[in-house]
Amino acid sequence: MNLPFYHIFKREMLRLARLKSTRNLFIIVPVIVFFVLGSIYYKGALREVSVAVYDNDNSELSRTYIRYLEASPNLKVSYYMSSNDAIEDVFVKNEVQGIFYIPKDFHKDVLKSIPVQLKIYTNSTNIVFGNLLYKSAEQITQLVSAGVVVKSIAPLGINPDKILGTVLPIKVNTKVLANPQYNYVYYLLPGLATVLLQMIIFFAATRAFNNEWKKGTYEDLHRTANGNILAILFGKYLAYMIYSLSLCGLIFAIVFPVFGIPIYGNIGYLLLLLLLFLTVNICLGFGISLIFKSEVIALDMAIFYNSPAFVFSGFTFPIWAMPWFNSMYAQAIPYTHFLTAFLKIYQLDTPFYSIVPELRKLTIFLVVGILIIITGLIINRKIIFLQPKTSAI
Amino acid sequence: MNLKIIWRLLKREATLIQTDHSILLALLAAPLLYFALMGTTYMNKDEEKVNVGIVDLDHSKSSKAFLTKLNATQKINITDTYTNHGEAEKGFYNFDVQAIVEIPNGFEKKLINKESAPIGLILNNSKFLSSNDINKAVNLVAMEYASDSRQQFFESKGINPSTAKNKAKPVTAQIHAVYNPTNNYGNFLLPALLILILHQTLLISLSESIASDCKNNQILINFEDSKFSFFNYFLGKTGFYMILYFAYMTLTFLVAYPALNLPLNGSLFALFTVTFLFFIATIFYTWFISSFFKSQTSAMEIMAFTSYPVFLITGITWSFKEMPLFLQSIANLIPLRPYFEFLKKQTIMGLDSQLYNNEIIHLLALLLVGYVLALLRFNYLRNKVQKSVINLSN
Repeated sequence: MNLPFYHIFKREMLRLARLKSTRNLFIIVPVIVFFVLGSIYYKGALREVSVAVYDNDNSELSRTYIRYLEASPNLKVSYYMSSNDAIEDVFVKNEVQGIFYIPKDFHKDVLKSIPVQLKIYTNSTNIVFGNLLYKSAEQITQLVSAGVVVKSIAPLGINPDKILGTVLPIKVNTKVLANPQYNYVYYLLPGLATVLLQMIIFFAATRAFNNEWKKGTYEDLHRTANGNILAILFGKYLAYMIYSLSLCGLIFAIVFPVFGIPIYGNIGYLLLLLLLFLTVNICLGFGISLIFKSEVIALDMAIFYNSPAFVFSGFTFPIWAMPWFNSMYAQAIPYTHFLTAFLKIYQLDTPFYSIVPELRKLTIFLVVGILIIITGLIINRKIIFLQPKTSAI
Repeated sequence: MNLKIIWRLLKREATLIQTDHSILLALLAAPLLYFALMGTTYMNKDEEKVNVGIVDLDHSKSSKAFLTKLNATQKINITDTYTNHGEAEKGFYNFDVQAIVEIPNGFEKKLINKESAPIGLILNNSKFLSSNDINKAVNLVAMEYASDSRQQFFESKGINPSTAKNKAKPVTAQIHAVYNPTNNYGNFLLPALLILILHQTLLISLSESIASDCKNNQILINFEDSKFSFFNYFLGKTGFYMILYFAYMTLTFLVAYPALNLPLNGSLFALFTVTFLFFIATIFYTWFISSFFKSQTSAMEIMAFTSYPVFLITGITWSFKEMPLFLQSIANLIPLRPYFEFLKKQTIMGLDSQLYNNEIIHLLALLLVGYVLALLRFNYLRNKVQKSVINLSN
């Protein structure tokens, strides 16, 4: 094939293959980081969180309550406190995340219709435990409370069909969509893996042109393309896209199956979204590479822009809870929009129309990327549009 | 140890930082900008008024009253009213709303007839925080109805209202979120995040500086100027970073913490001492690792990707015990792990010093390991440099 575009593509594929940076970014970093991140959450959900119980009543009802605690899949009663134990000490020394305190006369007071408050202390320095304990404590206490109510209702005379409607008039039928298993691997790993995908592509692309200048190979590049800048851009773009897609292959064909992460949505939509997302990042990276002749400064820009992408994406803390400036900044990162569409496809299997708004926003980023490329071409035109040597003679 | 030599090397490092824009950016601009950006992101600490859509097929007084109660909760904001399930599904798929509450036809009738009236709650669980908050709020409102219904029953049987109220709710749970009273996300994440910002900027800037030395053969000149003494070289090379990060530490605990309303319960002296030890341990490790890099770009590329793994491996967002053993072992070799535990116990929990002594010992052990690694590497490089000098002179 005698097309400049094809020669550039071939040259770029070989150049990238020889670069140490490519080996670091496309092989070493993702393999280690994805594996480590997946392994952290490999258990998926938290089960049997250690709790302590202080039974100051030692009655039939308090023992029933403790049996409910022991039966809960979320809790494990690992320590039975005595009156000498201080709460702080128990949290630290016994490594429990919650303490259930059953007051004296618990059973007697219930029988006398004196309301009883069970005190539950959760170590909320980590809200993952805090939330789980809150949920379990509420569920178990409501269950015991409802049991007591049913026992006191029955002798007063009630139609058995009406008991449930009296004790629990509104029944909330909860249907959890998108990760109904509350699995942390399904929740965090796809988000972390895709934010790293953005970082890797962006970092690699920020060195696409300035590395050629640094190594003195730009002239060769220019010559290979017969001076056709569009051929250089498209040839390089295609090579970076091939490398980027191979990274996507690692994520979706290896990491996801290894950690059992399901993809519910349409693979075609996902591929379309990925192609646009990768193109945006390659273009933004190319733009920076064309503007900043120093690789190090270009990388600094890439690190500064990309590092907070996960925090600002609204994945773990919603954008609507951020102050306006931060929420604006979040909108200025392509990952925020990619993530929304990605979650819609892979977790909710939504129809195509639902990802159109995100595709539109990513297209705006693409336009911005092209404008940055044009800016770079203008700023550094003297070293990009080389004059043929013959004309100089 | 020669103070004049240390001072000369320290000045040289300051000049390098001043002239190398990349190091300057990572060392001076990045920590302050990230503090401002990340700190303010979690400034509100928690979310409120999450968008929820409704489908009210009952159109009754009871259904409206229930939805009004829901909307009055702190966490729920009913933003979209749909006429049918299909329409609601569209809004749900567009992420216009994070949940849908569906009230079926006959809701009021069932409530009046004392039959259990089911309602539907569809949650978007792709983001746990909002999903949990909505679920909790809807169930709390349903429990209020349960309490009222039980009270009405007891009153209907001639029991006085006060006793009926007590009988309706015989057992309740009073849940105290200790050390983070509102169980909010900001107080949970921010203390660690601020330290991570300092850790990562120190890691990146110092590794850039050392990689630059290696590439420009400056390491050889520095070794010679330090008279091949580890202490002279090390204090001269990293002294600037120690002073700067002491200043950042002061800024973090005396300015950022109060500004972001984060708890500082323990002794400041202990906090400053242990934090400074943590930075020195980080400097030892960074120097050791960076001495293997041949260029600044390689150092940056690798170090930039350490942020997520080193943060998450410490168990800050998950249960440390639930991680595989090999990851626990690796985490225990990173100074961030004992330091985060110390920070949690000292500043957030405000525990007695005997309850975090283990973390201090752990950190000191890692400091020693870092020191030995750096010293061995220094000796290796020194011998290499001395051999090459001898070869050149021959």
